[in-house]
Amino acid sequence: MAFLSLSSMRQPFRGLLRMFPIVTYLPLVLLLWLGSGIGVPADLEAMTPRVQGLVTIFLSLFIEVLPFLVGGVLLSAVIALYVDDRSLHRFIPHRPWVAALVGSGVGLIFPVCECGTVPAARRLLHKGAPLPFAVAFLLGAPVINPIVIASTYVAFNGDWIMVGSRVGLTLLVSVTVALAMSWLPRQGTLLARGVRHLESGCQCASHSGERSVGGVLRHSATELVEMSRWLILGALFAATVQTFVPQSLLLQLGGGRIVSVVLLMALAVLLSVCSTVDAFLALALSGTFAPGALLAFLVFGPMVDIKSTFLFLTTLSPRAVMWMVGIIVPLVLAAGIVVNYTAR
Amino acid sequence: MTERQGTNWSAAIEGWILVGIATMLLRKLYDRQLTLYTHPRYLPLIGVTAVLVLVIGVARLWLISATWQSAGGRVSLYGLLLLPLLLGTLVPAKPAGSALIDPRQLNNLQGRPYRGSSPLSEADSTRWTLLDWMFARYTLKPEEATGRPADLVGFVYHVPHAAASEFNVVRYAVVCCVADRSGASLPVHWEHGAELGNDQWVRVQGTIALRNGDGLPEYVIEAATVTVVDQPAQPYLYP
Repeated sequence: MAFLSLSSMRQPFRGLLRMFPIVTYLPLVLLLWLGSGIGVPADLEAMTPRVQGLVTIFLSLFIEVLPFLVGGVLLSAVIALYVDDRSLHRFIPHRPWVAALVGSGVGLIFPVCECGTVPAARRLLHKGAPLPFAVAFLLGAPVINPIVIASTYVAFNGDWIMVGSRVGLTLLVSVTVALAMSWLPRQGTLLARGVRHLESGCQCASHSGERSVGGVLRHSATELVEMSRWLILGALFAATVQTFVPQSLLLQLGGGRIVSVVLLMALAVLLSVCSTVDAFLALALSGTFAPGALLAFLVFGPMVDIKSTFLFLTTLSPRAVMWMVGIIVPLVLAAGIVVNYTAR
Repeated sequence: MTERQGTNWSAAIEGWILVGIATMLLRKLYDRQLTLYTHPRYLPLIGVTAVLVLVIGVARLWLISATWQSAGGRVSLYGLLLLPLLLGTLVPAKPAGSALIDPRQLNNLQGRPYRGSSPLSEADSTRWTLLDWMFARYTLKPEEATGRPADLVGFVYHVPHAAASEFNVVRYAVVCCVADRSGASLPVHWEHGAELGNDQWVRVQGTIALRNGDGLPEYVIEAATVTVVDQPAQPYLYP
């Protein structure tokens, strides 16, 4: 193998030097320097334990999510290579509301959390699945799946009302958002550039793989690299917020039937915990917050948290993500407030 | 994209980064450091994931000599991909400690999530963990707790503005990963408390006394002995 020849090195490295983006590397260098504690001046020494804490949270989020992302990416590669577009068109309904309804229930067959749904939804869109189906799957599957239903049931000590409310509201919101997205103008601009690139039937080396284990792995590699950047950005942002913004700052703002819903929705975004365990956290907050706020936490978190919002950008355009979040927020907020005013 | 025979720089860099991340994870699994980040029940899953990432990385490297491809436009991407690899390798692996404590959120466990570890099933209170004591605070009558012996291991945290002779012995409870941690702690009254630094791991033996807390009587350990110990292999509690 002609591994390194001067002629092949010169051009990429010239490009590399020219395009060196200090903005990307500066946080990395700062985190490494402060976190390692090497050569840190006395004035900044107090920062080292904090930065080490930030690194621990960041790595814990990255390590916890990676298995689900890898699973999603492998599933996506299998869909890409083994599921032909015509079969998919036959099985996925095309009427928007039916597609949305079916899409939000796919998690019952493929139980994935919010990070696993993204690569699969991305691939389904590429294969021609209707947007309402993919959006409903993205938003619904992290909650409407047997693992999350079971964990909510266990955490809330067999409270079927809470389990049913969580699943029901998730279904309602995911179907509504999916339908609303299908009515937006300029549908072509709702997908991320990468997905549009896939949609155009590209035949580049990474997307024209053969049907084999090697083909699945090479497909997975390209997609894993692409998606990891958003996972890393999201995890880094969530870890930074968790390290430097005290939870009590939010929680001390207190109860109230409206404010409590807003607070727990904000906390869900800030914590970015996986939907499989968030019910246990909600329970820990149940002594302080009203049921509507807890329900909003359980429905909103799996749909919109820091890391998954970044991951959505691999599939949907920033405009589409803004619309999606913009529709979800008032829906969940209203539902939480209504529950707070009606629940005994 | 310019295409000619030569090195596919994207495949080379991305492949090696994926192999590096997989190796870092396997190394942490081997060194038993992964429990600093996640619940032990996830270790098999993470082990399998690390092997898969390794295989995927090698598959990416397979394309290294397929078609010449510049890596110049993806330098930002590589900076981000390197982040977990370098932080996981170069920053010393530490459990979440006192720097992440929000003093007003300590013990905000409400007791109820931890009903599975009911302290009442274990009569000997020296075997109770900090979570059990949190649970006891919500379930026992004050007179049932007073005078009970306690034997706890945790790290030291000095609550700002607390008495010099007092510190908190703390353990984080983790359901899934460190991001969902909650601090469980008990104040310890010990005359040499000020000599202990934050994050020092200690074993506290003493008896429980009561004082007025916010709404509920607060337990305080009147320490008989406080011994500095090594950080436990599993620094978190798992409800």
